[in-house]
Amino acid sequence: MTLKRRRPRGASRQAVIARNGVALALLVGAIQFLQLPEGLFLVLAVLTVVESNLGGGAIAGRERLLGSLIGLLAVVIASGALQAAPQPLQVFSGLSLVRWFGFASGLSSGYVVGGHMVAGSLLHDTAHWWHYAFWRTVMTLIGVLIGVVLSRQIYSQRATSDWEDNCNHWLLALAAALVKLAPSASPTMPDSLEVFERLRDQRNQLRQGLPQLLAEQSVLEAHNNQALLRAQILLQHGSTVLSCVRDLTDLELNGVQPSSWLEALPVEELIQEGAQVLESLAEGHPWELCINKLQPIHAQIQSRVAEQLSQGTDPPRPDRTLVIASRLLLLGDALSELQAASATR
Amino acid sequence: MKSPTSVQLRNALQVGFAGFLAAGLYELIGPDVNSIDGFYLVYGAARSLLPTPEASWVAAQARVVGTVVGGVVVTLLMLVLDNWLAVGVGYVLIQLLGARLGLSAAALMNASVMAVMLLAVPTYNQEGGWYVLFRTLWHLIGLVIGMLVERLFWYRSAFERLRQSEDQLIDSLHQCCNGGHDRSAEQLIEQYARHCQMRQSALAHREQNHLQRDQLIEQALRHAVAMQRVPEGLRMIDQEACLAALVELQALGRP
Repeated sequence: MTLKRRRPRGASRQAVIARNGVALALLVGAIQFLQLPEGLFLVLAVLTVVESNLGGGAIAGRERLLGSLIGLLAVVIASGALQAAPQPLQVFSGLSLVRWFGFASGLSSGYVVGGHMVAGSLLHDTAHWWHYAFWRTVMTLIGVLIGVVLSRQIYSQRATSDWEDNCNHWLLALAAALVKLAPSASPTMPDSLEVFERLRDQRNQLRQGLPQLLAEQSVLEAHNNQALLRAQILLQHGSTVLSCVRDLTDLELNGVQPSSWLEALPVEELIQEGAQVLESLAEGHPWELCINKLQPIHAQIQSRVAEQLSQGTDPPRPDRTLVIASRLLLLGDALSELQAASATR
Repeated sequence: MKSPTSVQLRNALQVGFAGFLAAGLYELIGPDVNSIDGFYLVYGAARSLLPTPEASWVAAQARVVGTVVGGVVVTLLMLVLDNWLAVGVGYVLIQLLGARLGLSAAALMNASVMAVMLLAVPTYNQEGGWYVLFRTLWHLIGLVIGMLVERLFWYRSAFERLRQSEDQLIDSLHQCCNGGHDRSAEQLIEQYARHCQMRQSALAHREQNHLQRDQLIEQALRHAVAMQRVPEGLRMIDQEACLAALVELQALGRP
């Protein structure tokens, strides 16, 4: 996974819309020409997959396919075992079973498709429910496969690229928040609460995007999950940087007493180098990360804190200076990890 | 395979009951109802009762708005072009118009489904605008039945769910402070992210000033996460700060 500058998206979205339009028209023409049984569901399955990026489409396709399968199973039970029961009772058992099976198989929305299968089989195609339910499932399977191939091969929109774009924005915002911590920066951040809330929301959205990366990797290369691993590393250490900056802002780093032993720590260097690392990551300049300037700064902080702790009480008495030291240690560690992870790629 | 939770089992029974009512109504209206696509009643019921009432409401809106927008665009398009090519043109028009109207992704999806249904199924194609009207109305009734059932049985308001989520989060934080390391820092962050999502939907429905509570919870969480990341010698500092925030939170009482 490479981290690039944010690219314009308008053009590619239009290309995807055009691709989908052409594909849908051709598929409808084909199913009408071939008179495929329940061919409509092939087109709907393709539509479900190609509407999103490759990772999102793979998840949506899986949901639709599993939903159709459990719908088929529920229809067989409701129509077969409860043949003599009144229709509302059959619908009750069919819909309940679909949800039950759906939850058991970990579906998050596919059970809606399963419910539609039950409704269509029991109320619309009553006389030929088996034909309807069976071919609907088969066509869904073919449609999902076509959709994934289409989404992968033509104007492929990758979840990984979308995720990277969002991650780059987050890293740049994180770097900006970090820079404001420096003792030489202005002493207050009037809108800090909103800034951190926004950074936290962005982080949470990035976390929510991880399943799409996983699904995309499984479609692309089942054995290679580099992008996902890297995303997890970025999120884990980026989160630590975020919480450290948040804590250090509250602790008013630039108000440290001149007499404090913290004065001797290379705080300014840590912050400047750290911000540089985050910006280089976001702007895709991995070569700049190869020169490890952070490690010696981090080591210096570590040794100073260890020295201070060995002189103090055991366990240490919590005071503001120690909390600041603890956060500087964490910050240095997380930034070093980010640098190392990116430089060794 | 996972074993469904009690909440999920209740949801399965609820959707079954909503389907039972919808199918009963379908039978009551008479056999001719199928000629005007009455089975969409049960489609609507099956589409409701999502994990939260807010999600059900958003999905219902997307279904109705998408069906109407897609239906109108394609019905008009069918006046000039009415074959398989029209599916592609209709899809592109829906996407462009929908983006201009600011429709959600779910509404756009429903509108696109409508384009495919109207142009790919000869029966629906012949019904034209009537199909759009009946499909929308039956769906609407089914969705309303689903939302009524949701409201009548085991209903928990967004605020009650927020309170439960908060209790669970505080419990995890207490366990973390008391040495029970059953949750990693990443799991705590994930639980907090879910709580934030819940808070967003709950406070949209009930305006309350939760600022102080939220700040204390966030403070406790930051220290609990830091506790697992800082060197051993400094852990005590975060443990005490986390406990202090939890005590302060308790002093605020129940929301």
